[in-house]
Amino acid sequence: MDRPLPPDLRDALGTEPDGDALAALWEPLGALDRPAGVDTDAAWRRVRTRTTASRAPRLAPSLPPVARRVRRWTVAGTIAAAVAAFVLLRPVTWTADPGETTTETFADGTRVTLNSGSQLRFTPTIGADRPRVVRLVGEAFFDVAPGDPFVVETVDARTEVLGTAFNIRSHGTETQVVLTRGEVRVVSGSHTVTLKPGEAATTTDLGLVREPADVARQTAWRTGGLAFESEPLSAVIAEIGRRYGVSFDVASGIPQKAPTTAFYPTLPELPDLLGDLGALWRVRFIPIRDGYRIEPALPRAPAATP
Amino acid sequence: MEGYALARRLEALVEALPERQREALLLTRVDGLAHVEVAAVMGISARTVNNHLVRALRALREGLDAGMIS
Repeated sequence: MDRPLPPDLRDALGTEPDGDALAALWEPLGALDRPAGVDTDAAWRRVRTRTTASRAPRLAPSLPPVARRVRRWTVAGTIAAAVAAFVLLRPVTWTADPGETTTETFADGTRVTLNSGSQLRFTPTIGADRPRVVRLVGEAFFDVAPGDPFVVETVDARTEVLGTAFNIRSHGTETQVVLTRGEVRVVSGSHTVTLKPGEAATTTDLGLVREPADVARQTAWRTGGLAFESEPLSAVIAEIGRRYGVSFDVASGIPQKAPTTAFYPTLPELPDLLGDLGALWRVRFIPIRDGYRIEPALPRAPAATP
Repeated sequence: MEGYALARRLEALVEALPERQREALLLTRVDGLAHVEVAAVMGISARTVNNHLVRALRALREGLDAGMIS
């Protein structure tokens, strides 16, 4: 595909006495850009995909200038320039530390609220007001301004949106998307579902499942609330750990699978919450360094070990 | 000049361009980046990108006109 003279350059050449002669070079220069058998666009896309998919930590803080990477007028040099172009736009990571949530806004007005202990990673899209692809580990609420398609990648799913608002929860190996407004398409493996407001999509071993959502509960964290919907003990304590910045050590003999459903419209004091869960699970929370050890509750019979 | 010969001569002239001019030209013409994008990559203003491009084109023109290959 040929590229026309960029408008800025055309305007600048229009003010030069030899502008026409210079502009005439634009087309023959284009003949140089696709030597037979080499597809730089494909190489570029591969680089892009690899870099976007990579979860590697921050790149080296100082990279050599692009110019030094382009020593020769070769396809390799061109690809190096393209790689450098991409690499120089360093991935950005937003995180919400345990115990806090953070809200960030892109230039187009798209707002992202990250739940405690969650991380959003993206590479700024040059010339655009927001990145087109972001990668989420954890949970976040997105309120996306209309415009170019926007994709949220999680461990096992892609969620493609236009202007819309939705919650994504993806801890561990699963993803759950809850839609509050607009429309999103969720793709996981070979499955695709399109959600309407009030619906949720969850990745499972059997593929994507679409079901009615309890939007208020499933987005309660945004307003400081806490909600669990038939979740195993491990998921509940992981969330409490993130929300309160504490860790748990689970003693053997504690049933992990007991499904727990609970809803607090506002975040309870930790001792109150642990009191509730202790009664529900029949366990004790023993304070340890940085958190609690979960042990079976003492039997009521006085004959037992004190 | 036939296209092939012209292309070979342009190739040599492009290789001989000052680094920054060549870089701006390749990113714009070959990679198809917009001025603002090239500016972001090179850490310069879009106006400077434009200046590099004008100078690069002029150097190529003069090289062709002089029949000179670096």
